[in-house]
Amino acid sequence: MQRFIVGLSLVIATTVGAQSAVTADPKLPDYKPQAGISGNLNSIGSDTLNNLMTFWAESFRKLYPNVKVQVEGKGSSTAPPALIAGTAQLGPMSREMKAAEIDGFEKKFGYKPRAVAVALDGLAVFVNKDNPIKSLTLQQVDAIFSSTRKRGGTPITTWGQLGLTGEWANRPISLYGRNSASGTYGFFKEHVLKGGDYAVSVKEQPGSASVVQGVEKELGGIGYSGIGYSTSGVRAVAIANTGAPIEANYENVESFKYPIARDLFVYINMPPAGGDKLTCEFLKFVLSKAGQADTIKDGYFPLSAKVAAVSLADSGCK
Amino acid sequence: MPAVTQPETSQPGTAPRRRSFAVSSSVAKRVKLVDRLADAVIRVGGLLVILAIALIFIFIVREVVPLFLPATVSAPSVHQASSAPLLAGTDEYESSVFQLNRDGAIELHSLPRWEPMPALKSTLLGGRQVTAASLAPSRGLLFLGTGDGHVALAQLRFEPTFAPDGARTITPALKDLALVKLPGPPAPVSRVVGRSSSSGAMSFVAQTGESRLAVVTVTERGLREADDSGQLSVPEGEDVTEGPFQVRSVNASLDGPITSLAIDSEADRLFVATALGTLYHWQLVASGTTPYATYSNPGALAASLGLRAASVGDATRRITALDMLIGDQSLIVGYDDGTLEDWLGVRQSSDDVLKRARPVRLFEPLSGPVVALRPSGRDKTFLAASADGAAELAYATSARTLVRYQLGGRPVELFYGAKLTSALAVTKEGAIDYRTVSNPHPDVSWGMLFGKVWYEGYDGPEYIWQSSSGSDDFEPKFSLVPLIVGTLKGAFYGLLFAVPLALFAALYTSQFLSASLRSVIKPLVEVMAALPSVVIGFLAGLWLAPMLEDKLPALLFFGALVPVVVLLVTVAWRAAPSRLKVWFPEGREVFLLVPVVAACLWASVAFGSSLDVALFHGDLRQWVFDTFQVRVEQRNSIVVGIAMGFAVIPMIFTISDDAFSNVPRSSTSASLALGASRWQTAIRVVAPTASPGVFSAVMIGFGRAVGETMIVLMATGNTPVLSFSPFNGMRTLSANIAVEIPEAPLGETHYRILFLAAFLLFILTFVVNTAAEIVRHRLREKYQTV
Repeated sequence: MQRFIVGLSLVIATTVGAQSAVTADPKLPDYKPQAGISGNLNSIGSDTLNNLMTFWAESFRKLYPNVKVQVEGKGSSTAPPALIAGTAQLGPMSREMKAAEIDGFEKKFGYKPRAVAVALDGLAVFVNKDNPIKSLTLQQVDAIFSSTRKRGGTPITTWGQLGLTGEWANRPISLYGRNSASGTYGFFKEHVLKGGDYAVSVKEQPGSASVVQGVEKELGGIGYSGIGYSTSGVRAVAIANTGAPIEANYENVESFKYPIARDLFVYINMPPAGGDKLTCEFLKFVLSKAGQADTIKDGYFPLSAKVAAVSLADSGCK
Repeated sequence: MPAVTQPETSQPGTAPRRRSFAVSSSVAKRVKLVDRLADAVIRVGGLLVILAIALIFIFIVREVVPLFLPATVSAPSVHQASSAPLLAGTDEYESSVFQLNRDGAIELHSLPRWEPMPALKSTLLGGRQVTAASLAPSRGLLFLGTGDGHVALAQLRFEPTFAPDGARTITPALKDLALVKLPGPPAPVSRVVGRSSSSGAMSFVAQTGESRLAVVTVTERGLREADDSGQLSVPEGEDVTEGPFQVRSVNASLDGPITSLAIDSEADRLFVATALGTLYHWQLVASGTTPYATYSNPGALAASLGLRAASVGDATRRITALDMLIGDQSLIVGYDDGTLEDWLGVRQSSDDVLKRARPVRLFEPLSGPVVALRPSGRDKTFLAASADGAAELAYATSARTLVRYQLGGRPVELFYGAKLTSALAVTKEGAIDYRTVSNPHPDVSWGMLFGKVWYEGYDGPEYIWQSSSGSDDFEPKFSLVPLIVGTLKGAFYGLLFAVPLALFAALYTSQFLSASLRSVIKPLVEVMAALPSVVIGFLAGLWLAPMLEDKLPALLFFGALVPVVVLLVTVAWRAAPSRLKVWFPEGREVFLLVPVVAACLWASVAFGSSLDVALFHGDLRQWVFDTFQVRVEQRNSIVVGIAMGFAVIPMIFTISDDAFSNVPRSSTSASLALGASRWQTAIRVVAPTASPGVFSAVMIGFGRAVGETMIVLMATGNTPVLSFSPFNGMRTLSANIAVEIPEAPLGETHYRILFLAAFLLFILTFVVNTAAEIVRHRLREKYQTV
């Protein structure tokens, strides 16, 4: 047990160390706790955002001991049904809501849900740490993961077809992906496969952690998930669109130079007359310096002060 | 045991009462009362169970039935416009109808009473007349072609505002975006088709003159390049193919006047049909302004591909309407004889990057020339209307006509409401025909659920389950076949592992094992059944699967080694001297095999890897991949088979053990007395007599395996593959329900299809159990005489 704790703290130390190059924008507002905040806050949705929501919930609870926050992350597609049913006030999503989902919400409440961007993610394509591959083009990734190959290209089933030699030349590529409830699944499908379909051989995992774990355990594995789930056993490959390969680091993701950079959202139910104060305080905290510091701690990238201000305006909180 | 006592033991409850002495009448009354009470309680309980099952059944059916209800279209609400509008539509809240007139004014009427509202007009137009117009409904983009060779871009928006009491007011507003001057001499725009892409770019193709086409793309950034009056133009005679404002002139020599145009939302694929019946296909990004493909006589292609029988009409069929469905994959083609086809891009060979189009799906024809098409902005539904006023709503994926109706006049333009709840048609006579549409489940048909479907982006018809996605332009694929196959596959591999083990174990315990040991082993195996399947699944997925991945050769070796070695040892044991036999007396020989099996296990683990090197070059997975082109997945059917087998063994074991033990001692005694050996007795006498029980044990095991959820959920990759290979995973009906129900919106197609899967599962277990029961009865009657 003790060894486990030492190991755990080592892991935390190394992840924090690796990410220390990124710091939250000093221009971000400081969060000032308000008086009289209490109650329950439920969050149902994205698995990509699950750890981050938990971090925020913990920090938020330190400020408001009377607030209970519950976080459940089975996939972005579970957020709209939860918001519609009213079982959650916060619906974290790693993709934008579909028109049909917005329809469902609007049918019940008469107004549209609001999307609040809370963090940046460079959707990473992970390979095993011992895999020598340096970079992949979007066309190659599409040819590996899809059955439709909408970006053109020929089918790719072995690592040799990507230029690897020796014992890798004939090694089959083993595909790990998310289940269909996942926003990451949807985002990857739309932006990498260009709306095509996944190959049936993609092993659908219920969470990002198991995708990463699968790639970690299998030499020939490849999988995709939010950059926050990166571990020492896997490596995110640089992705090229048409030009040079681009690493998924803060600079490239913040400028959206990285071809599969994305915003992570929290959807909320904000009536036009003004909404729940607790939800607003939570979002204000998330978009503050302390909240964005948590974002870095979890391995995602923080919003700049300018973007955070736009997000807060989007939320409709006063 | 003497035969006389047989009835007594078989009916222990009735025996004491028959002995009439020593039973007082009060006791008899009490017994009778208790008897009747128990009878009533059991009856009520039984009825309640049946009722509960019936209620579950009714609930499931109630969720499933709406899937198969037809679409409906209401009676029309017709408004006669003052002048014939170019197009018309409704806002997404269905609060008003807008119509675009030739002077560029947008007239608005509130619904449902058609009360006039203030009109809107784009200031970009000035005094220009609008000669052609197009609407990209997803963002309310209007593309207005003018009489002097311009196209004005404007956005019609309906902004909801809320009063403090929650009342909603919807305010229409028109936002001018840009005025694009088309290349070439100013001439009236005769056709314009506009689209908006997912990245926010606006694209259109405009026709001036006979066959002069211009393809223009304007991004949000491109709008800033406009001059003070909002005009965007390029230097004469030049194409701009990069940047935020792109213009391409397409001056192909066509074989006749243009009858219809279609372009995709990325302004890449352009289709043009001519009056002589030719269809031209451009891939503007890849192959520029020369046509990528030309299809002469496209109307005959479907017949030549064998999609329909050839007819005399094939040669003379001319295209009169074209449009692309959401997702830019399907091209809907309408002909002058009412034929409707869906063309998809299909690779000629697997190395092809671009795809030639070809007809793939055929729809029920309309009665006259197809004059108007309108795809939905949400799914693969579209509206089509013919010149004689016949209209239909069809769903592309299943090639199914959902509903047909008749319009009052000759339609020129159609509109399909943003939320798929209204259909609108503009007629030549200037009438606007507005109807509400109810079409909640367009994407379901028997063919889609159980047949092969040729989906967009695929090179042939396939069975695919891929139910949801993060975007609207996705074509949901609801084939239940891979799931049914997965269910049967999981059950098959589970039984393959469990049945031999459980049956032989039961035969041995009941016939050979000493009674004292049997009384220990049977409950022990039954305790196995108490193990929650989550635990089994967890162990299988996280411990067994990775271990088997390393030790797969060892396992296969073990499977081959054990029967051989056990046989050898038993044969040797028979020849062993009797002083050795004392160690393992009759009924306890099994202990002899424990060290033997353990030794086999050790040997296969120790030598498995060297055997692997000798036979499969040290990598069995690679060898399987090279030989059979099948990837050995970590979570495969072998893992599921073992885990599921583990779950069903106790059930099969205990039921068949009871069946074997219930064979009357008289039969076995007779057989033994006649000189048969114990083995002969077990196989020739016990096994046939017990066969009804054994059969039902296997069937109940099968039923359990079919319905098992947690094990397959955790121990397979949940890949909905259609394959019986033991080296890959599966997705079963039950696991699929567990995986997808949280993401399926209540009451939507996906949700109901999951209930349909539950219904299938229910029917499957019901049929299996009923069949098992019938066969059991038959067998019992047959062997009653024994």
